[in-house]
Amino acid sequence: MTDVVLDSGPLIHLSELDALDVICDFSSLFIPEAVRDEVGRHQPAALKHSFNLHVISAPSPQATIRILARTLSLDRGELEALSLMELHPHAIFLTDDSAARVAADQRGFKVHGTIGILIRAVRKGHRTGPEVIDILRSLPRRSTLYIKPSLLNEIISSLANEWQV
Amino acid sequence: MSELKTEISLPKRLAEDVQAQVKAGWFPDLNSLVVEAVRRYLETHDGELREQFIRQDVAWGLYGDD
Repeated sequence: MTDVVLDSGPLIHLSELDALDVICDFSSLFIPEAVRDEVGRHQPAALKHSFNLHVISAPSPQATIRILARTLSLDRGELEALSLMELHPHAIFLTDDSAARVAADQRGFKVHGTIGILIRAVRKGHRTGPEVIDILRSLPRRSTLYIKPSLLNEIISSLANEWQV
Repeated sequence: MSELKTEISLPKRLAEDVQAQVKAGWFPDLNSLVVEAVRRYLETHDGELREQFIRQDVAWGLYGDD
């Protein structure tokens, strides 16, 4: 079973898409206090979902993380989430921020985002292929996760082909 | 390209945060804050890299083992 550490983006975006349940099968869901505060300000409904979200005080960031955060202009939530990853290095870090993802890659962490989690939901049996394709089609209308339309359309087409829907 | 003037709408919470920063004196005005935020964002969010990450996510979503 796999633990995950969440940045605010996937929590906010999955909540906007009414799809927070797709992360319920991970063994533990950790968020640092700064992410809780950020999500609480911008998408409080995400924190009211019935899943078991563990709010953890992040340790003081190691020098490497501090430097990466400064270099990449990471925000406090991203910095604290990366610090939590240092405590749970085998967890998956979920973020939709490319700079945070670069930092996570540098540290050798597994890192994915909302799109990957939605597609994984089909592999795990939480959603059908057509359901996820509908969610992806509704992204520009329903969420604040911005993807260029040509790429989103290409992904939807390849998934429809893969899932034969 | 010459200076670009545009109009933006901020969600209520973001607007409150922005106004608080300006009121506290961290930025002389809203324009300066937005320029700084956009500059920092563009410095660290390369479009090609974002696309690469999303494609990696699609592959993981389909064929990952976790």
